[in-house]
Amino acid sequence: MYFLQQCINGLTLGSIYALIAIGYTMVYGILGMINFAHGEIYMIGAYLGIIVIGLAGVFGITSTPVALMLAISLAVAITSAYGWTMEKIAYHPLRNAPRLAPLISAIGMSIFFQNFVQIGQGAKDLALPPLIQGGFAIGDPAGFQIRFSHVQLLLIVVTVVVMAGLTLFIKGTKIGMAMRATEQDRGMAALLGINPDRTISQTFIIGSGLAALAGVLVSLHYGLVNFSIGFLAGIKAFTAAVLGGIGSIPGAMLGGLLLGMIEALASAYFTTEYKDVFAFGILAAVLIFKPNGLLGHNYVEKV
Amino acid sequence: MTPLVVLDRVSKHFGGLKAVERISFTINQGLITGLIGPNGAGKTTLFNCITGMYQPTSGSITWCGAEKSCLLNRLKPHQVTRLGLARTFQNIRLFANMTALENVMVGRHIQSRAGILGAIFKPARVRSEEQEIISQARRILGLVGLADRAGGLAKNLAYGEQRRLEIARALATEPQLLLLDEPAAGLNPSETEDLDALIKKLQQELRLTILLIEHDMKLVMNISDEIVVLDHGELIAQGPPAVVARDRHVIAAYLGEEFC
Repeated sequence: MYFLQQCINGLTLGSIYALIAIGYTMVYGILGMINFAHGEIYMIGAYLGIIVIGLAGVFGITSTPVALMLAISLAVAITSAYGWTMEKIAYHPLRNAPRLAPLISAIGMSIFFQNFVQIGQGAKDLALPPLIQGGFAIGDPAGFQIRFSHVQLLLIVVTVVVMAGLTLFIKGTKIGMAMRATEQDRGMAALLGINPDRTISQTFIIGSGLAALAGVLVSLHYGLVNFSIGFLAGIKAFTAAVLGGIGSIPGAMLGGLLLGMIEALASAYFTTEYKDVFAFGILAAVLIFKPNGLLGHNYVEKV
Repeated sequence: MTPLVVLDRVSKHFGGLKAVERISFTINQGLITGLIGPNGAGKTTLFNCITGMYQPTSGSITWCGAEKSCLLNRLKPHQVTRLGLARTFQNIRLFANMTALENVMVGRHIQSRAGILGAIFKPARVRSEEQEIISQARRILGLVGLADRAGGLAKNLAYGEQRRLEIARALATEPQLLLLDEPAAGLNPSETEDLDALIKKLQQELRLTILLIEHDMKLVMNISDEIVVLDHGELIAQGPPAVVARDRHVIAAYLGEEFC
């Protein structure tokens, strides 16, 4: 029973990591760079979610589902705009620069976003009163009970649906095909009439939107955000992306869920303080023993 | 004879290296033009200039299409493709992890109109357009003789099939001008003969204009209507195959002065 409880917690956490990791892995796939500001994009999404829910209350929207839908759609839309702008300002001018330059630019964007939100929203935690309460309790009321809250259920269901949708999108649509083509050979894709700049923008828009979705869901789950939550979440999601094989979207999904499970089980059976040690220990182990990750491609360049 | 592309004193320098130096010639509509020359003569550099991958250092490349004519010099590759030029590469550059059909469908990409919302919600119009793209892609695969390999990943195709898939993908953009960079490289004699037939078929059935870089002299002499010879970045001869084959400069470039 205790184990099952930890699995539910792990899946919840893993869903968040997976949603954020997809953004990392898509950008890496198409540009070959790690977008270190991606965690901050997630943080901005979380803030926007809380702000929209607050505003909805001010405007007298009391129905929770309506407020929630509003929060998710506005947060996703505005955060996508942030992602798009970030790419245009910080990465696009460095398209043909050495690899280190966009990386440093990404770290700069990360610092900028943190300070931007700190100045705009204050350094204190921002709290969201619990919107969705209650849940299921399974098991003996006198003994140990598994608690599965509605928020957790919502989080897992939304993640699964979004991932399935994204998989179909990448596999079957014109834009998804353009993304895969650009990822494999940008120059060749351009020669076939695909505008690479547009495809890259679309990648950032989708990745940022998913991070914003994760942000809104997290603020519903934990009820607290502050300007620095992006850093750790970003690094964890990056670990998840590497674990699954960076550049691979199914890999990011799998890596996120696995990492969430590992953290939950580690904090349950060892100590909570050491859960990050487990997470990053796994990053180190993957990099040493299977640098391509679980589902990553094995790139061999023929000369 | 109507010109399709006019090159006027095109040069491309890389620092001190003059890869292509003041080259002028005309690619005429409906003809197969062979571009030959020893290794390092600047053939591929010239291809890259025409397709927008390089900016010429000087000179002009003019496109005289049916719909519009314009300078190619300042265009980006995807804009050049939209005008009606398509190319293949000396070393195969397929999307290795996509199927043969998907490779061709990517080429059809520019012909479809669906935007990001259409791609997600798929109204009937978009769906029928997608069906149309798939059937067109299959037709093109059939044209190059790969109809039965549509579902196979590009990286799993045989070498000769990969070469033909590259041509199919280029055809998918519906070009008026097709640029082939050593399409016969690495093929055995019988595969080369098939390729010969395919290129002629493209010229006759699709009324394509073709610019061809090739080292296989038999192939070039067989199918070209006109031949342009480069050496050390300069144009040394041009004309019908029979004339070029007897040209003193060409023989000197290939075999050395003593054979003239």
